[in-house]
Amino acid sequence: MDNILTIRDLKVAFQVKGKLAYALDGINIDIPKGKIVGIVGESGCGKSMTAMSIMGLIKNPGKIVGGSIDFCSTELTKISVRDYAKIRGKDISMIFQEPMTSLNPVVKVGKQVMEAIILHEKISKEEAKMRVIEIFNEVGIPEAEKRFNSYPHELSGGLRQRVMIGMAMICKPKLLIADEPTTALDVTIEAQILKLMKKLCESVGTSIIMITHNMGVVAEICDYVYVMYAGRVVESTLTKTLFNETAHPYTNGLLKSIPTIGKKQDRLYTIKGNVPNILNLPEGCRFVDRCDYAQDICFSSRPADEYIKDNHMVSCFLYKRIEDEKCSIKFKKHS
Amino acid sequence: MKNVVLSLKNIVKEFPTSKKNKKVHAISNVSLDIYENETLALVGESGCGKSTLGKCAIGLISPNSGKSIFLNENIYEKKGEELKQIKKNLQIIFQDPYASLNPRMTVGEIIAEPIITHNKGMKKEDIKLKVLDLMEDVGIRKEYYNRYPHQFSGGQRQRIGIARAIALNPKLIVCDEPVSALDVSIQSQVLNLLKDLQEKRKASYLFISHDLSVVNFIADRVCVMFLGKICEIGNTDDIFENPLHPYTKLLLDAIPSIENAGRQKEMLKGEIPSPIDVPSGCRFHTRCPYCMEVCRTDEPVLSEKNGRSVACHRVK
Amino acid sequence: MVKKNDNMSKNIDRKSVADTEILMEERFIEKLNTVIKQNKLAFFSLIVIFIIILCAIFANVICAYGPNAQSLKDRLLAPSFAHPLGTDELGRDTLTRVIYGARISLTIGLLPTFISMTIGTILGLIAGYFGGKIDFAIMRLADIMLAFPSLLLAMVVMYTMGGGLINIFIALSLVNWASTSRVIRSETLSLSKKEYVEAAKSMGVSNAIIIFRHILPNCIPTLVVLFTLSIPSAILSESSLSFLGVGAQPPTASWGLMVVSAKKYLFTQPVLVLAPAMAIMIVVLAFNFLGDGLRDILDPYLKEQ
Repeated sequence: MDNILTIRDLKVAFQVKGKLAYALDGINIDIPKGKIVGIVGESGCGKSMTAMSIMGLIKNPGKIVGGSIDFCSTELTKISVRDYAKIRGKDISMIFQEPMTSLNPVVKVGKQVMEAIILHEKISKEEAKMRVIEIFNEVGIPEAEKRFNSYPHELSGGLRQRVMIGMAMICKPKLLIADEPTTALDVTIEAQILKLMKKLCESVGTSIIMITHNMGVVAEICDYVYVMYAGRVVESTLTKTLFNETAHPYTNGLLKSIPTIGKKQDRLYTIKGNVPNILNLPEGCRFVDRCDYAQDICFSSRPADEYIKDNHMVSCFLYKRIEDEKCSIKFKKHS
Repeated sequence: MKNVVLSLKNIVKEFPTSKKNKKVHAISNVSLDIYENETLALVGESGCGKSTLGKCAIGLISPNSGKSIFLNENIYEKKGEELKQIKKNLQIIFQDPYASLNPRMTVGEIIAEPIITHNKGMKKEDIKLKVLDLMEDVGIRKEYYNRYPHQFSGGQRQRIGIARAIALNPKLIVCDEPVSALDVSIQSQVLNLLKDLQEKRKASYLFISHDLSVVNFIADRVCVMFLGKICEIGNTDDIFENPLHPYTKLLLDAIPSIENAGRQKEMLKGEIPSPIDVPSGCRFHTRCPYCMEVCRTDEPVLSEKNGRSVACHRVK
Repeated sequence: MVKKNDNMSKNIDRKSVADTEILMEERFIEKLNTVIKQNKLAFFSLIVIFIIILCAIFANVICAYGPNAQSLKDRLLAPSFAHPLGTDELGRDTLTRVIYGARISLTIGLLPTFISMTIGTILGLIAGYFGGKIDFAIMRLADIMLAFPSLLLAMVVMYTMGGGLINIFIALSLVNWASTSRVIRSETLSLSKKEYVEAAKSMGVSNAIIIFRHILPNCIPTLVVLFTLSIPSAILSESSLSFLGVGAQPPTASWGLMVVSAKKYLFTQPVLVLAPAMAIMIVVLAFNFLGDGLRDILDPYLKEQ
């Protein structure tokens, strides 16, 4: 398989009171060409940190302290700031949860998208404008020519997110990182945006990293999934395998705690406790305090990444134990 | 037949805009009954007026016209001590666990506030006992009595907000998106807690949410709103198994699903119309795939049949 | 019930009520320690201010000379052992006068500022919380106050009532409330939309209690900053008024007056100007650092970061 992005043993740490706190502690991620890869987890698990590492936007006092990020044979952890700026926005682009905060409120949206293209390609203003209107049509903005002259506040949330996607896709990037792109949107608009992203992924051949906390979104559009917990990838595999052959107790717990439509439940399954603070992680497995299956070994040593099948990685000593209490939802993909 | 706890009658709420003679029609003539010990869910997309309706119900917002009847009395007409006695029975839990707690008060003070307000002259020690009791009920350790809100996680803060809301044993609690700011694993904890507390304390919930899977879990009845109007009300099972209003159908269909991923969806067209210039006739007609001629001109009325009300020209 | 922690006792009794009280005391001492550690500059400023206040109170004990004791043969002396900061054109000891000046400058800085801010805060809270016609009336009054040059207004007050310290107090108190009330009003407007205020309203908590428990405490960081910024400007207003002849009257030792009267000796005897000027600067800086530190301590949001 052709991977356009390979992350190996990436570590990002913060200096807190003289100690290093690891926000990412040795994660491995592969992004194949033209596929949608989901990164799921709860807040503070490091999913946004992963995105920021790829974009080279980790703010002080955070620092990449180890590992490699290989993007199309370029080692991103070693290149200069100037080279990074050339890649960012052209080959790798990003969209965020709240489009209002990433658009300048006093500049017309068309102009903002135009700036993105003029920055990376040598073309005239007229040509750029044509391209913007073209991409606006492509991302489904009605009356694209009229919308070119709108200000961000004049657009609805869904339209703003479409503008952001247009801005991100205008240079036809190799990789698009979407950080919770639909969390702030209503379900009906969410469905539209997901469909659009899937369509763009197929037509342009862009790989997408979909950062989300919503398992439904993962099921709908992702080909591969990485489940993260407290700065580690705990399970990664094909979407279908993740849902139907869940191996990690955390993944299983997450799936079980989502209320399912069309099923009468008296109580929801809960994962006990809270997400641990990265300053204060358990000695052994990070999930040990919240795990129903924890054994002595889980308290004393950290589990390694283990491949139980091709493409199915689990970081757990006891993944076989959850067999009997597996989540009962069955994943089914229509095509 | 169950007893009605709170009855909303013909609520209309309009907000002024910067332009003269243009108004935001947040709620247009909505009537709704909430029964004893039930959870009624209010669902809809952003801007449909569900939060405004929830706040109108307990008198936090005064509507332009209409009544909210609690124990045969219209709460909008009450003042002073009488209103205070009514408010004791109507409480609210907010969405944002970071904005709903005063950062300068300790957990103990926050939970004690409703008790002190309604029990003047109660001994300090008794109040404290009651607060600690409530903290235990919602699963906050008593050692945290003197902590400030910023020392807690989102889920714990939401528990504190819940403790404050149940402190006076209210008859009705408006839950305004109580779990939408929480992580999945915390969300299920809070939902279970809400369900347990309802069983124990026999309160009714008006549960406002945009997340239909949460609604499916917690609600007994569901009321679907679109642009300040009710589209459909019915028992949860009926609504989810057999949605009658086209909007309800499309809303259910849009939920990203694990069991049914990648299915061919009937996409809802376009965006939500502006509540300033509401469409004529049925407010949903601009997005409705089954729109007929009559829908453009005549507004459908909410008609009841077998405990199920729908406002649509196609459903008779 | 949701799964509970095992170490949580099932029965809550009187003993556990007492437990929480002990915990609170321990926490307070612990907190004080960390607060001092994290805000060394503010703590240092507090000590400086404290020392200045002590000097001002015990000026007659510390100083070897009287503030107005003239000795014409010792005019304009350079700093020496007998006169560490030299003497002025009438042979008065500069150090003595600077120390006595602290009395006036500190009282002028603190008292009218406190009074005007109290007035401004109360009016701002009322205007912001209740809105409507009350808001309109208070804010238009504030606009008029702000449109009028405050120094001119103070002078009008001073002329009608005559010079003297008490009248400076009154003049400065009456003039400076408007800006405070504007800031507090906008703060109140945003705070009263907060969900915890709505929650309190839904419980039936009275307006007065909402204002004093939920809104005012959350205005304190702003008030502290405003206060520290107003103190120096009040000190400067006092010297301006004194310069114009309607404030403190010579021979009273006030820093503003000292700078004014020594300005013609700036090149021959710079210490005469520098000493009161430095005193003003130290007080102003100390109050600013203290204000910053206090804001950090009082604001739980900032403290988290």
